[in-house]
Amino acid sequence: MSDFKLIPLVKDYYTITRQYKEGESYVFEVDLNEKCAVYQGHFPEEPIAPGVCNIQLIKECAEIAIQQKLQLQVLQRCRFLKLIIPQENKSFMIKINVGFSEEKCMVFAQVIAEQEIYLDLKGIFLVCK
Amino acid sequence: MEVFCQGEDIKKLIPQREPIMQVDTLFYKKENEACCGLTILPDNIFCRQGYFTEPGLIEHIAQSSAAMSGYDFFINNQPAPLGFIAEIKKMNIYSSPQIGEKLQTKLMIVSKIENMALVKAETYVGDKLVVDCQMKIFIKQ
Repeated sequence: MSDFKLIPLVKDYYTITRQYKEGESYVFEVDLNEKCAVYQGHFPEEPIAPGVCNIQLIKECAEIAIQQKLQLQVLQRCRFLKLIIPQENKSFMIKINVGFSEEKCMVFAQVIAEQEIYLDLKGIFLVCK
Repeated sequence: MEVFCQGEDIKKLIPQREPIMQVDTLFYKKENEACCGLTILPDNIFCRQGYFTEPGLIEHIAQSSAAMSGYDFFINNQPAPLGFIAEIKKMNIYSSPQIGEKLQTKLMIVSKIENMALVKAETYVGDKLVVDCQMKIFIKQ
């Protein structure tokens, strides 16, 4: 067993409720926490999940999947297709595929709820030793 | 560099508030260009072990774009509109800035169609390029 231990960057942003593999994909079911402090500022009258927090969420799920720390180097593309409003819908599925080349980890990820894609991301992360 | 707007006044240009504000200065705004800044403070929500992490850098660029469009609303005595990242492309993160360092982000509007703006951004610490990317920003009117 690896001794990798994740400490989420943004406190209380999400909880992982279930985690499994589906073919080659790593799947994480998460609940977003509408009481997280980020919503005080994003935005005061209209809580909307900050896109960058969801990029971080994907990174942290990928770290758990491969049991290594990652550092984002290249975002080839990241699309925010629908707003994530945790007061309306807090349960999402993060689906991640990874590939390795030397010390780099290629990540393709989607954030999905009820068959709809909210975010997709293709990026290259450095695997931290 | 001269400063157009700084500190508390930046709240007139962007809708984000603590604890997620990631811009503290607007140096200038021209027709299709702007330059924004951020001093990385130790209590920044995106700092970890002395470094400013990737989501902080991305949010800083997004809020710099927000300040650029917020400026046009401000000079017309209107509140800063809500804006959202629609897409990020070709983003390279070359290094992680440290606490105490000052980010300076140069923005250029490549195209603008209705509520959507395509922006090219380069973030520097001193003369060292830290991040470059393209961002599509959606402004809610």
